[in-house]
Amino acid sequence: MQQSDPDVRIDAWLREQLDAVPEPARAVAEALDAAASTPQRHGRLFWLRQLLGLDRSRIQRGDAERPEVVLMPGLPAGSAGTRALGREGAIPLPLMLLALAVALAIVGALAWMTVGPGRELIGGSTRVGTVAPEQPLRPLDPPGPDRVIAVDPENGHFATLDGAIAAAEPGDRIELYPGTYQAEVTITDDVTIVGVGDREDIIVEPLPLAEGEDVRDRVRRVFTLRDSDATLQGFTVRSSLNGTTIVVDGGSPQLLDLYVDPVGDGTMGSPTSPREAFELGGGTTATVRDSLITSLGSVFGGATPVFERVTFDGGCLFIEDGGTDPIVRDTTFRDSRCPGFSISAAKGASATLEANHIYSRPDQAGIRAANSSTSVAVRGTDITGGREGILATDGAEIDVMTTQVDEAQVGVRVIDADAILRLNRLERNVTGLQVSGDGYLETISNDICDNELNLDLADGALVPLAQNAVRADCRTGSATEDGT
Amino acid sequence: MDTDVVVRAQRGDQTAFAQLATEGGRRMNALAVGILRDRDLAEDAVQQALLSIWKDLPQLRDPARYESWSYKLLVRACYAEARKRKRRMAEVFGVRSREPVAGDDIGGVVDRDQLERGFRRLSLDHRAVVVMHHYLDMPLENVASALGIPAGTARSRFHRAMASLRAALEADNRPPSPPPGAATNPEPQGAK
Repeated sequence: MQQSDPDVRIDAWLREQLDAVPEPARAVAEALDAAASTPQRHGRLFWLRQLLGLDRSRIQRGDAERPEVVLMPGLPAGSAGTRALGREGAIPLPLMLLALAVALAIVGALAWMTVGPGRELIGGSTRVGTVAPEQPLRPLDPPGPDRVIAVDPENGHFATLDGAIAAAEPGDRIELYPGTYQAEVTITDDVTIVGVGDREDIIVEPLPLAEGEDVRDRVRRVFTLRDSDATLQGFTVRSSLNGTTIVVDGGSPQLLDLYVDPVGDGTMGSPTSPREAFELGGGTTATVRDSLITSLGSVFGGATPVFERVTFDGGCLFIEDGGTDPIVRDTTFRDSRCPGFSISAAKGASATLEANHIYSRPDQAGIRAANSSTSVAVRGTDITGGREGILATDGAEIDVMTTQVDEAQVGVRVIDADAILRLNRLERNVTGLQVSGDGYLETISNDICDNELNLDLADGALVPLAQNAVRADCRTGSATEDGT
Repeated sequence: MDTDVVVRAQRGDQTAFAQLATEGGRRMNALAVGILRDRDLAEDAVQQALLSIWKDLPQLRDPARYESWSYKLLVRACYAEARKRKRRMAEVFGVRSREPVAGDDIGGVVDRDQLERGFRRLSLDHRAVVVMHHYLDMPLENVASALGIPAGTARSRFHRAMASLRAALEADNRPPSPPPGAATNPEPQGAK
């Protein structure tokens, strides 16, 4: 293979790659489901062709031998609307005009019924997984303020979450009682879905696999919140299937007191193909609070969410894109299984990280900032362990203040990046501060002590340390280096 | 593709549409995977494309052109998916390498790796042309028509993409440069 013509190798590689692509069973099944409830876009030309029997394919192929039965829209077979057309498809002109007028009237009526007042032709609040509206098990209160819809297999208004969401109006509160619910829903309304009971006992997970379906070929999103101010609170969301568990696209939803466990066993699945806990994009200003996350969460596309009192247990946070600017506050990252980081900001993103607690594995950076225009402010954070407590590379800017880094291989590592370090303490690391490459560095009132090597400054690195304490022993305060 | 099936689907026949979706699904999926290099995204794109096909099918004036028209909608859906998910897991976690299978030679594995990297460096526009021409065996004129671009643009994209892929292969065939400071042998290899 390696000795043959490059074009032949390229062709063979492409065919080998794409021949192995499976049938898109999931995509076809869902498209067929959606098509069953989605009207076709019939243009006027379509109806005219139908009316006149002008089937272009037959005309082009000269296959107009057999008479074709044309059913005029809205008229039953055998009525005056049914015409057997011969080869020429000739219709007397007055009859054609009359039929045309009738057809246009019917098309107009159909169009009005389809896209009339208060209806949407496409999109809107698509609820995947529900073909027909589910009937409530007991009567719902009339729509109004403070209406509650209970979801409980025995005593609820609905036994399924799908049914409740389909019936909900903006402002409704859907109460989920203990149980396991299978749903994949898109929410565009401002509804509240709240668990009643312990969140671990109230589980929402994707629909089961169809017979013969392979888990690896299936993408499922349990919740998709699109331009919604919905609230999800007090339950567990999990997915044993491929895909992202919660997708937020725009809006200002509240994700409160959730346990988001994409794999369902407290892990994130294969390291090379992890399941995402959530994606926050589309400029969302979502709030994530008091929740437990066991996998990767992504923030991108200009999103400016706020995370408060969240625990990423084995999980991590990936922040990307210019305009993306989350605030992460009082949040704990423990034993991230993401390769290389607990928190990563890149490609022009900004982030404000305040009063967080990060416990890293030995091969990870607690906080990683990369690429020019990426800007990360760190305040009052404790970082323990890891390859680097904080790593800034490739033109990123970090502004770190009142933060402590200990027991890392390198407390703060700056490579071709800008760093402002004020009032921080770097102690008991192998190396306290390591700087290499070009970049602006400002260091004021930092305490760098009790590291095996307090400073590791590459030749040419310009590091102003006059206003810092660089000491061998943090407890005694004895200074062997004063940074001058 | 049987145009009678297309015509029936145009008239709202769900069974006919299911036949179109099922029969053409795998090729559509292959095209989407080729463009997006991600199976999950590809399936999303195929799903969106199929729904667009269903909705817009009555407006297809020539049922005989169904296949290239459907590819056009699919490529659009691929672009939309790529825009929605600019950030991909592959960028976070690296590309999953293909495990060697029995019979793989070292050269083959290296080739795949180089081509994969080279292909990922291509833009979506270029990938679409390469996959449609090479894998779907569509003449470049038809590719241009399906993509709604001039034939010259399709040819230009194809040649540029192939040049890039050839360069990726050739880069692998070059001997590695010696490490900095390593002694160099001034004599050509084999010289006595």
